[in-house]
Amino acid sequence: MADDKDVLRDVWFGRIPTCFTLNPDEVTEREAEAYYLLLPRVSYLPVVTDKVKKHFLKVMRAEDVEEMWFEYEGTPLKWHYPIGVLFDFHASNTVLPWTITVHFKNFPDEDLLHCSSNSVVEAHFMSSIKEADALKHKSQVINDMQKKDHKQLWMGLQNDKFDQFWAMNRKLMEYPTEDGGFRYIPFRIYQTLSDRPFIQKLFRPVSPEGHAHTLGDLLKEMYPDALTNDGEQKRYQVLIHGIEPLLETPLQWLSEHLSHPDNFLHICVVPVPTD
Amino acid sequence: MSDKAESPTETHKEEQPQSPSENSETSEEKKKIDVLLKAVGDAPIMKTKKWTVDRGRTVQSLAQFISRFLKLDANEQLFIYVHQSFAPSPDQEVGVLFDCFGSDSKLVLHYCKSQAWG
Repeated sequence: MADDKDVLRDVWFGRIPTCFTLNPDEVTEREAEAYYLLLPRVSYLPVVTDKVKKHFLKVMRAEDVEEMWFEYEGTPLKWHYPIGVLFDFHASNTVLPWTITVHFKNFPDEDLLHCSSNSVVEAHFMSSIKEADALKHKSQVINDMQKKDHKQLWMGLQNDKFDQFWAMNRKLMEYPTEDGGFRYIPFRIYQTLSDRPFIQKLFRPVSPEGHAHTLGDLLKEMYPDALTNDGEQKRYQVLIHGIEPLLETPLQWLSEHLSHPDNFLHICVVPVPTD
Repeated sequence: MSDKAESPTETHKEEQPQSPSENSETSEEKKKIDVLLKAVGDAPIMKTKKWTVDRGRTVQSLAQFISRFLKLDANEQLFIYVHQSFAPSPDQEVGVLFDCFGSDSKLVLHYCKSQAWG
């Protein structure tokens, strides 16, 4: 039986084979070849695409290059969402590699935030961790950590250093034994056919009677349509890191083991493929 | 991120009794929420601190409104914080922040011209 710690490693080292192609409307001095890369599910596009940028800049003139941005089948990809979430949400049941189009012009201000440097990603990442801890521990754990500890969380993610990251992150996964879990579970549920970006609300890991809430309990409360009733055909897949965990899985366990490095459980609900 | 044309409305002096319940099973959510804006550091204090805002309004849109209201320079940045601890993403909806971090029927947001809580 796999150790719980093995799950942490499997999550951290998840990769998505990706093919980057240049938007055909970009002005190039010669034809641009596609660039292939294994993207870490748990990281963010600006952090891991320096090589992509360098590759395409080789065939472009500096004056034709503005801020790089990415698009999948016409949809601009939000760099501030974890890569794995973008894939599960937009392309989970498509043939690999994931094909992403690279742009250097016409930045879509309406859809994307700007990202001038990795420090913007760092600020966003740290804010997410702080928001998660506000929910889990009323910010007590994150506030008790020193600035260098916060830096270690970011450096661990940026440099793909599992041990360095988890040496600090394990503190954010602790809770008083008598409580049975965190105060509230940090989660976001992304729905494909919705005008709102995601569902995020307060939800306790343990019921007032002391029962552990499950993934099914969370969905029943927040997005009951995602669940299949008896006799019905399954309409949706509930994906976390590209897999469908059993609905009976305790939410507290999911939060401790299947959260992203930002300490949020990102859950994608996508239609079952109809082919 | 587009700035919604409609400005937030001032709340009336009398409080509307309403308490967001946790794990609420009621489907009817208020379309607008109450926001209390608090200045930090050398940021000017808003004459009107309490505003009623559409749930779907983004943090960035609210920040732009505050900047205009305070007549800040175009190059002056505004930082918004929740719980005096984290800066929400500019595209985050205030309704979500209210659901998770509201208290006494309102969402308290601190704003400042420089980074306060990192």
